[in-house]
Amino acid sequence: MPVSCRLCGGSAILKRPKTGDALCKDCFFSAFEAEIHQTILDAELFKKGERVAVGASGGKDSTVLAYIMKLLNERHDYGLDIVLLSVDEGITGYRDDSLETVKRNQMQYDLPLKIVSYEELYGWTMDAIVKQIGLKSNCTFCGVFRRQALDRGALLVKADKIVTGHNADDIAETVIMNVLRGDVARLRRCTAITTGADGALPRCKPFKYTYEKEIVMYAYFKKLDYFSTECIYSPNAYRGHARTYLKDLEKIRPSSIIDIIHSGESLSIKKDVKMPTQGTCTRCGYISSRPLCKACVLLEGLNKGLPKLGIGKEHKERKKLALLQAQSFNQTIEPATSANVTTESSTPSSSSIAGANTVPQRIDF
Amino acid sequence: MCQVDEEGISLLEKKPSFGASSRDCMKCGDRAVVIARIKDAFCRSCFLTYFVHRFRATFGKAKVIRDGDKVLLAFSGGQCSSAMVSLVKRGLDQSTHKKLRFTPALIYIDEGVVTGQSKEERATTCQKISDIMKETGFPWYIASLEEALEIPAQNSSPDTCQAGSSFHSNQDPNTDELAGKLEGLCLETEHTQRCRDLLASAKSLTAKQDLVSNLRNRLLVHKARQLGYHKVAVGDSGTRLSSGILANLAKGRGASIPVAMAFADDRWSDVTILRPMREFTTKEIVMYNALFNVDSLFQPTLATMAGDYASIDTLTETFINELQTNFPSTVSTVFRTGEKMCTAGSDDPDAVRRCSMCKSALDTSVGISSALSATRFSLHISRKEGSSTNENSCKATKPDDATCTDSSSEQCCGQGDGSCHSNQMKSVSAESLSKTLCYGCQVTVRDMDLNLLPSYIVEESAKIERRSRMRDEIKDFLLCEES
Ligand SMILES: [Zn+2]
Ligand SMILES: [Zn+2]
Ligand SMILES: [Zn+2]
Ligand SMILES: [Zn+2]
Ligand SMILES: [Zn+2]
Repeated sequence: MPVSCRLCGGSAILKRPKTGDALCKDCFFSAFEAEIHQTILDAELFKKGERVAVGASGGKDSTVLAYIMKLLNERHDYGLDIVLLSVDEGITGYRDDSLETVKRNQMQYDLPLKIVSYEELYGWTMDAIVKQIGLKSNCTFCGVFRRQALDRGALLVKADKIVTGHNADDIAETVIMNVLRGDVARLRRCTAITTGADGALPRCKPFKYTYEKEIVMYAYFKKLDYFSTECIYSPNAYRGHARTYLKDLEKIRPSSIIDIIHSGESLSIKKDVKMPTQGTCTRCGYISSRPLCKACVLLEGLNKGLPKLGIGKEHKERKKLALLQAQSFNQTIEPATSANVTTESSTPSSSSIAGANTVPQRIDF
Repeated sequence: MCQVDEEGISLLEKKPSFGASSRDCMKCGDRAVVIARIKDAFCRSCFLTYFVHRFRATFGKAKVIRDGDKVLLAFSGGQCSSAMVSLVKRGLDQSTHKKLRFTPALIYIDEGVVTGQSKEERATTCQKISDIMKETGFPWYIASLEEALEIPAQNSSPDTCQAGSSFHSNQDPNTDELAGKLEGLCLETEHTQRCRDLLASAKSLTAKQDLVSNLRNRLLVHKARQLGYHKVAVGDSGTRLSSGILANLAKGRGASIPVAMAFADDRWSDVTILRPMREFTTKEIVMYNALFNVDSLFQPTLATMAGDYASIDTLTETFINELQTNFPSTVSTVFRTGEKMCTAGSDDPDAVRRCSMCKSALDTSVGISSALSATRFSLHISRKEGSSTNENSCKATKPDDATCTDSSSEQCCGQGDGSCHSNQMKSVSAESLSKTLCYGCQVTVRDMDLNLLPSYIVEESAKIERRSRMRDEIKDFLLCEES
């Protein structure tokens, strides 16, 4: 028996994961689009005349994001100047396909595209880094570098803002991860719809309340072309646990994803909990709680032939660096400072968060 | 998206590979028999010293117990509350400055109605439990879960609260024989069937478990009031509380995490819930019980009868336990994260509006840019009618409920000129509940038959709504904000 659309009575083609309602294709499209528009209005994400960089990886979230930003911008006259921004890590064979997708999107959506390469930004391609350090820790590099690459690229194209495709599932997962690893500073920030407003370029997430499944549905029925970009390096086991947990929760109660975000929004951190002070990197100006940001520490290691520097607890490498620094004239970093860098923005001193060092860190959005 | 994990697992504190048997006690150098916390090896007697000291310190730190206070210990027969009772006994027996200085009593709440036990099965359990409780030498009480359905709304005058008919204890002057007391315990009343219907109406196990724990907490607080206790101690371990933190997050109950794990949970104004076992892991408690012959009584619960993936609570518990096995700092990390949380905007604790179901701070006054308003918008846009989907299912009003003797039923329905005296308070709409329930409780009742909800929820919701309507009417003439 055909199910009829809850809104128009026509024949329904899907059941919305978010509300459980049966809708036809067109009613789903307009509901989906109206919700993103509402999110943008409610959170006052943009101002007329702003130049907005859409992080485009060729993946589903960013493909749908680029499409819908263009659509809403025209439909509701946001007056935004939208630029697609892609990062080329320089991994042979890995980015080729996804960059092709981005280029196709650019033509289809008629949006300007800027591709920034690691080589251009850092002087190193991922392939060259892998050659230096082997396969073991390269995800540290590509994650840290990628996060900054978007900011640095956005500055290059003179954008006022970065828009990313992080969806409700991503945010719920991050809330859980931050609780599991005891990272209260990120826990506080990770449900904010706009981050980094003070200092760095603001980043915002119009998909904050959008279910991943609905994004896939939208792309599927709109026949949007995307490339599946899972990182080729295996994801961390701990985050894998959190992801599995979230998927299981969703099976038990589909609203769990949004419920978790509500939980995150209604919590804050006690005033007497010590928070890391945010400053900027003395070398590149990027936001960092340490004198040197993570990327600069990693680069320092690469350029000095100590690529393990800044990854985990590589004391030996730090000692080697200290030695090098002692011998060098124009060296400005103190060994103790750089040696302590484990994440660029928010790892508090180990005394303030018990267990913070016992669970792996991840760069947040 | 690429994950950055700082060389992943190498940072994690891996489980120590050595067993307790090959180690010496960290205090006295004797052979260790047990490993507490993450890697502290203890011999039997040093473990006892550590355990008792830590228990006492948990009480001491909080400074909420005054000398001679009466504390009601919630005893379920399980490992954690059995250990708690044993520790209280040791604490009272200790000499001089280490002594615990309060007067305890035990209360057992029989939940047989939840697992579908017969009257006879329940009576047998109560008999066993009363034997254990009698052994302690403390006063003890037994109540059944369904009595929670008789609890009047909290705001009603205290005189309307009478001792429940099925409430029994060794303090009852009429019955000095144990057998006599248990015979009098009513395990099959009109409320038993109502409770069964209510539980059966829950469409998900998650909602059912939330409801059971709500009934249980309400009843504990209610019984404490009746018996003149202002403190109730429960046996929740750190492990359980950590898994509760995560489960609460998942259920949209983030705002209640701080009270739900606090040593002193003050959401019930006149009765404080204490959690003296919160600094122990479940494993440590089990070791204590095994080493010092503390008996406990295993009883099936909803959780043990269902699978691991049956509800958010069971899933979360399994998840935390598995993580804890591989990464022994999981529980303490989650616990300490929880300790650093507070409810957003809770600067003025007295002005807090509370949920009429769980009594935690109402978390629904959020801005337009929020998960709650986004959800409402989604429902609105894909239904064109707003969120009042349960409207039809709750139109049916129960005629003249016999339990409704509260004087407030004489009040007007609030819709007319004040002369109707109709008994409208029994009907409750999703709409009005959404104004008086917190986010998490709204999610819970979404899965239930609203007509069967306990009267303490329905009446309180109705009362709050009537008051807010009254307030609306006179608001132009009010000179200052009054809560
Ligand atoms: Zn339709
Ligand atoms: Zn990677
Ligand atoms: Zn830098
Ligand atoms: Zn010893
Ligand atoms: Zn509630």
